Amino acid sequence: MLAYLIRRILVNIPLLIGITFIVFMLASMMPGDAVLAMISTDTPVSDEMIKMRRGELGLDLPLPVQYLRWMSNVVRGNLGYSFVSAESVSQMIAIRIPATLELMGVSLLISIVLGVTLGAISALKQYSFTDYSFTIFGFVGISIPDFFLGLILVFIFAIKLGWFPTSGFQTAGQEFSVFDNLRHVFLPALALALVRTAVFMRYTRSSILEVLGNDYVRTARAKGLKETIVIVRHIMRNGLIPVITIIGISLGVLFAGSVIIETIFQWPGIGMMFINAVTGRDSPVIMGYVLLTAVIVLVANLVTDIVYSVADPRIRYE
Amino acid sequence: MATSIASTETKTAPATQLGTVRPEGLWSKAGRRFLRHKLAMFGLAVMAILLLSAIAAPVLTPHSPIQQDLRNLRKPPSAQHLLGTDGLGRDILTRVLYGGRISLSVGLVSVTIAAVIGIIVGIIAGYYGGKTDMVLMRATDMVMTFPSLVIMITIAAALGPSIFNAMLIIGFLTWPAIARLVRGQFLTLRTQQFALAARSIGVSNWEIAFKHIFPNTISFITVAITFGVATAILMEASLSFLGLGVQAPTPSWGNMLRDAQGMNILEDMPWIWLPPGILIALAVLSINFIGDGLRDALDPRSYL
Repeated sequence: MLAYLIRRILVNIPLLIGITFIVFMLASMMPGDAVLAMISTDTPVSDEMIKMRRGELGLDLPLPVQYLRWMSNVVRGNLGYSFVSAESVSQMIAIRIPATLELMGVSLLISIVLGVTLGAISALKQYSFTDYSFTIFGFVGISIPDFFLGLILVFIFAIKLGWFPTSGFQTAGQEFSVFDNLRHVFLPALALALVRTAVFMRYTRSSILEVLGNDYVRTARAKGLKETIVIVRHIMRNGLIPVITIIGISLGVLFAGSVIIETIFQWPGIGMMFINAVTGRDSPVIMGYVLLTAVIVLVANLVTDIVYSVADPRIRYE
Repeated sequence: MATSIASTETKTAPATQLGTVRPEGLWSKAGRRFLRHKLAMFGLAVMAILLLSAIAAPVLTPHSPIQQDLRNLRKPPSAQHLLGTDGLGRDILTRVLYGGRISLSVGLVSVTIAAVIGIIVGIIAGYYGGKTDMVLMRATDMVMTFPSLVIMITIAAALGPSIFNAMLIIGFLTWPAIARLVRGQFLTLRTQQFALAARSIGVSNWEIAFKHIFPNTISFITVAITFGVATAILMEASLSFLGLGVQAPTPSWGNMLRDAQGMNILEDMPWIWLPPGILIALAVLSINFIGDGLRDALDPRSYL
């Protein structure tokens, strides 16, 4: 197990270096640089001056050297400074990441509870009307773009019915309260959760169907156990193991989805920060965000593998 | 004695008949299974309507998708404008039809790009195995590690947004799924007897890969490509919605939804933003249904 773990981590290192390289190349392709960003358009600055400032910041060095300089900062936790606000990128991310994690957490909770429940019902009543309607719902779920769903939710529940606020993190001018915040997070989390719900549902269904045919399920029934005990202890326990993987993999997708949803709902997380940075060509912020999401996805995959092997003792890594 | 001969004759007769009639092939069997799949038929019908109306857009509507009409701003649906007009007086129905051309072609072109790259990488990795496989699969992992929308937005920002860049970006980011599928198939198939038999009589590597193994993977690739079109349409919609895909004034279903970012349009003029959104969902849903039907029809494991 330990050897597997170490190998698994080592494999990620070249992957990570490759990713930093791609991120750096992309950023260097973007128009604008730190010096141009610092110059205000009102006061004209001579080309000489620009050249000198570029030299001071090392922007005239060859790209490989610039890459190494950037990397040596990154490993020390310094992601550079925003062209727009001159804030430290690590600081900007640190301030905004709790909001994103809250949104993702609530959304993941909704989709796991809903998806696993619906999937289990669907499997236990295979080929029934309920099963068919859930399957169709699953298809609809993966087919509606999450941002369109977000717009519809705002239109119905915020504008027409007025049950929830249309956007934001909390009611402006009011003191922060958990209840108020949860009312704000509900619609964006729901919009983000639907696709995941559909995916989790389909995996749970097929995974449980596979377990249903096993001998130990028949044995459990044959020895006269109550159906609820058979379902909970024998079917669910085994049927839900593969679902762990799909939940782990979905973290990356959830991150990507939160970019658009945060923008629509003006949710002050790192997704909205990223979109604003893209609009403002703020490449240090873009680089920081992309790097962070890539690392999070790598770590999430690793953790998923480990949790999977703990949950299913049959899996042994040699 | 005579009766026994007669009986063997009657027994062999149908057998020889069976021998002359060709047994039903994989594809015709799959075709029949596909035609029985109700959801897939529904999807096929909807997609046919969407494709035909997108192609016939200039015939179906007298309006221009781009020409502004400042006297008819934000008009609700009427006899003249069946779905109303947008913020610049353009007919929504017209824009939705022309938008379909753009959105569907971005979907098809980017999937083609993804399929070509994915198939080539998959074949090379799966057929040669070993170090080649390892290097190619690490590259595949790398592309897959990035949350695709995030990296797409970044590349679109670096290259500048345009319809061609959208096609390229989506194509270049979605090939790993196909590559992995083809590789997996090749890894299992290349050690099977028909491949070994071909090798033993001296068939070249290239011919084994393309003539013997590749045809066996086509059914899987077809399914993957179908679902790929659905994904690509969704990705184009997301990119264009953020203003990083198809650029105004060219309509695409995604960039038409941008209008809904204005509160007053979202609140009071649902005819402007509902149609493109519904069409995206309908198109993607239909393609997913078709893909599901194809999977059921082509998956050899489901033959009983």
